[in-house]
Amino acid sequence: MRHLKSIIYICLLPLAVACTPSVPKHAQRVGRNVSTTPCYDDATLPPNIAPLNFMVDEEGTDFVTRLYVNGNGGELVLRGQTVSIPARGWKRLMEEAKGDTLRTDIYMRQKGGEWKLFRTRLNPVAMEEVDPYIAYRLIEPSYVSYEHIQICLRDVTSFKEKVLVDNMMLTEGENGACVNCHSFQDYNRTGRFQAHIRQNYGGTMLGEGGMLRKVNLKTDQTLSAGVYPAWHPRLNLIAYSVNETGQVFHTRDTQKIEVLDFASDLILFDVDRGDVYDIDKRKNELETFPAWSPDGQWLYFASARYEPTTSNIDAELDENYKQLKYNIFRRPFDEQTMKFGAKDTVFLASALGKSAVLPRVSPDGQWLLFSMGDYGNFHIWHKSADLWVMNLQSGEARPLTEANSPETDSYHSWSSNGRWILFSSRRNDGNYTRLYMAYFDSKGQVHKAFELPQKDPLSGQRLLKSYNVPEWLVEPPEFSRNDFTSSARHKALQANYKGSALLSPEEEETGDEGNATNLTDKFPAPQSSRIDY
Amino acid sequence: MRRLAVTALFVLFAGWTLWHCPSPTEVAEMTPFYLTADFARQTASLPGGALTLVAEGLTSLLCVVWVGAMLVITLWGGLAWTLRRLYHVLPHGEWLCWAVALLCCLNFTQQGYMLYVAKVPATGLSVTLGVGLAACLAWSYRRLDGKPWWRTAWTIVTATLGYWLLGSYALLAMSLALVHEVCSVIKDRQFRSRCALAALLAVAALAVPRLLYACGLIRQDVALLYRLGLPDWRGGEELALWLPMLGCAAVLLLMEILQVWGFTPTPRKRWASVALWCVVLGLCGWLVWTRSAKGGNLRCITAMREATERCDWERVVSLAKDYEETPTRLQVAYARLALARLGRSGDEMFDLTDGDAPYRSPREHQYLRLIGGRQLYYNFGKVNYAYRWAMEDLVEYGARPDYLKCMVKCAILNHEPELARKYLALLRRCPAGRGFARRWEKCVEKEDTHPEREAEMREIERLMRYGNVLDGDGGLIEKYLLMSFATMEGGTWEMSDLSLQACLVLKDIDGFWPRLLRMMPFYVQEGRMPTHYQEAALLLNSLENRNIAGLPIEERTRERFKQLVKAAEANSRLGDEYNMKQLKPAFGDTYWYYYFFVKGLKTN
Repeated sequence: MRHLKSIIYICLLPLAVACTPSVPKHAQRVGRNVSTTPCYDDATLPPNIAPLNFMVDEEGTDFVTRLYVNGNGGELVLRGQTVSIPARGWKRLMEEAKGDTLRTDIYMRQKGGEWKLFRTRLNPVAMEEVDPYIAYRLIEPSYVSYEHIQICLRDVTSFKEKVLVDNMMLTEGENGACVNCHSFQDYNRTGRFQAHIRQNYGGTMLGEGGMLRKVNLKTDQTLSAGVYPAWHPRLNLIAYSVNETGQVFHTRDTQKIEVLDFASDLILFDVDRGDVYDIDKRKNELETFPAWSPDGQWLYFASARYEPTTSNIDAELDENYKQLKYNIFRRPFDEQTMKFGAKDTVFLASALGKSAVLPRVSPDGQWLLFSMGDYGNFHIWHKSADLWVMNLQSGEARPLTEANSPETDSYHSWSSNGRWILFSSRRNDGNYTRLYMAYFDSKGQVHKAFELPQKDPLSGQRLLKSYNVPEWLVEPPEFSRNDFTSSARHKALQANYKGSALLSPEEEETGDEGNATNLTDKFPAPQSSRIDY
Repeated sequence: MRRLAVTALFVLFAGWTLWHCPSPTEVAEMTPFYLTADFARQTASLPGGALTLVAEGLTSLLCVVWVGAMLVITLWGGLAWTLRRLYHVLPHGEWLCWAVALLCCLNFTQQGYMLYVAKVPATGLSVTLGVGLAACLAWSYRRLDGKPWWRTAWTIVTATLGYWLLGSYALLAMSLALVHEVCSVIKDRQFRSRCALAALLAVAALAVPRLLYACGLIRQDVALLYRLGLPDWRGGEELALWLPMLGCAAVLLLMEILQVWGFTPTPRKRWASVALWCVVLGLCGWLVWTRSAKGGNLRCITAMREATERCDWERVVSLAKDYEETPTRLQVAYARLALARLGRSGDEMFDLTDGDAPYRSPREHQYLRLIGGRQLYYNFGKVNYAYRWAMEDLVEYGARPDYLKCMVKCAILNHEPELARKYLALLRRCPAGRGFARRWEKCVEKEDTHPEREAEMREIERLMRYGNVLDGDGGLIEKYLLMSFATMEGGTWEMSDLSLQACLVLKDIDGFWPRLLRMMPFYVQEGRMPTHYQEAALLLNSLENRNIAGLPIEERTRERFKQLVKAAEANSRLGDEYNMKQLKPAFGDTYWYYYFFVKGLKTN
């Protein structure tokens, strides 16, 4: 048997040698970059990223691609218009390229013609690795309807993708269940996880160490169940926004949809005790998108002030939606007393005529990354949305021009070492979000962003789903999708309302408890039968 | 000879039924199938997915009507012939095989409106394929007679691989094998080995799907495990849709029993045999004929839909005029769109029969939106809403080629070429979309100068000169369009004309009058005002004493109005019901008749 194997190898060897592509000896240089899908030109790469497979978008019949670090080291030579890089060779090459530059030469010719060599593609390779996993939701960029939603885990060092949650396992026929807002504590180092289920089997799923349970966070005193979550980095606490949200449609604007909050507040959920506390409940303030600082001592959030002039706030906002300008604030948090201090303004976007949401503090606590658009809070549908960064020590803020695009750039997160940012962007076609990552160097400079590599470079073009809420993870979750499904079928435990978590609630300009409830009772949100967050 | 004659009769009957059903191209348009690895992987990732994938591929060939029709008839005929070969008690019982073929034919032709709301695609053909493959699997089991270990292996392979590929049809094959074993036990008294095999079959059929689910391999609701791959008909009024499927399963079970007992299902006497043939096939034929979704408003709607897609507005109008029953709102909407495009609304829109006939479907739905909403929005210049509903329906019912085509056109009109290219790349890999992709790819590349784009989109662009606002339609497309145009100020001539028409339909006199006056210089210059506008002006003069001096109202219209007033005065004591019938022959084509007698229509 052993001999048979050897004989086969020996027989195949000449064939393999004959098929091994070689670099053309003579080629005419073309003074431009080659066009590829996806485009990886000049992007700084993490050393542990999956192979950057791509397709050459040039008209030719023969293609040869050579990847190398410098002239003396190893190289990979591949043939074909679709470049599928072998994982082992790629890994070796990237190891060599760490702290150096990966070079890619692409040769092309028409049948029988002369070879052409495009300008060498240069990709600096950083020393710092990227977190190995990304969790995201796959959903069509629809408006009201939903059907098949999955929360997936991608190993970014390879092409492996695992479905963590699939809503079709929960539903039958018309009884849809929307799964959304997945979130992991501290890059899943603690094994704590949460996600919401809306409609059928509704509730918030909470997981720890593979065990899952369901909680109903809606209380009589809060606007809604928890919406946008933020895990405290260590304690078993989650800050949520609670929102009364509606959707309306643009008749001409190609942004197509506007998602508006008619009311929103912040709450704190003590997971161990099942208690809900108010954090921010100001009248006419629309607080949303909470995020903890990495030391757990500050809670950042976005908030806009809107004072209705009529009794019909939804009709008013349909007219005045561009006046909604969100700013970024924070409140100190005392872990001993579990109380929040006074509100502090962090970034006044409205002063620039803009609206800033989704604050995210870097793991070293030095930088605040946020999404800035012309108005409103749902920047994932705003073409004006760009990523901005603010130095929390100097207070200086600037757009991440190298990473941004003319289309939507939003929903971002920091890698655990603070050197990579991950975000979703609609830059490919204006409608479908794809995941991009960019290197954020020690000087605070961001490098050119590149699309998360896929095994089939055209699969991103064909996929009719958007990548939603991408989060870095350092450990894969312990629960299985069957665990999630069976736990979701159980009855939800009811959370208890325990009043305010503010140190001095009386000093705050809060409305009485009935105000927010009355507001939503009077003005139900239009078109809000099914909302996807 | 007899066999050939029966086959020929079947082909003629099936062809005749198909001819009377809505166009097979519509079935192809509503069936997602793309020749990409991603699509195949995604479809086949569930039990029964591989069968669905093949059925989708075959269904998508229906885009070429004759090829498709021949293909499906060949499949049904082939099924009958295959069954005859698989069950050797036949040919005396051949009528059973043709009964199965007829039931499969019915399964295809009964779809009707369910085609638009069914979430499991290509069920028209997947039942035929599934039943045929289940029979083949059961035959292979019978061939292993006397080899219990081979039968055990068969059971394991069918319960796992077979279930994964064929879904519930593999379970049907196992049920047939189980019936075979049970009948054999009763007949041959071989208790030990046969009972063990029967028990294994029953346990495997029940347990393996649950086991696969428990292993996390099946990403579907546990309640659906035993019906994966089957159509998604529900109970209530949809129960009857299960008839062909259950009928096929029952006939296969019967044949299995007959096979074991060696009974020939046909009487020995010739007259009784002929009578049996006639009764059974006659019954099945009658079922096919009566339960098929032929004729009726769906056939007219699909014809109008196809004509609208081709911008063949004359054909849409002629279909509306030829339709003799009360139309649905969608038919009315299509006819009004066509008249608007032909510039004849002002003269003819109230000449066509109005109505709100129900859609003959066992499942309630917003069919106007689901079938025609995209086209209506697109052709009336509400491109974002057309795109929106294409997207919403794509989410609910899968990436049907029809939705992607609409999204391509919307993307082109919205100047989103990358988005159009994305959808075109998929359509290129779909039999029902290849031709479309070839044509429209050129338009994307030469965005503003391509003649095809010019021909279809020029008129739509003239309806898109309005500002952006935030609103919602609640899924009520006709109402939204009417309200939107009736409240519109300014815009192009075409938009103003639509605005007048919408005011007339909504009987909004206050909206109609100022808009008419704004258009007046044009009509004065032309020397003629559309008939319905003249009628409305005369009515307004009569009801509210609006000044119509200087309006180009024809003498014939004035004369008819006088006749109407005279007739109405004469019948004033006889009530609306009487007047409605009495005045219809003379004034049924006027706005006056619409204004006074057409009431309470409900859109959907």
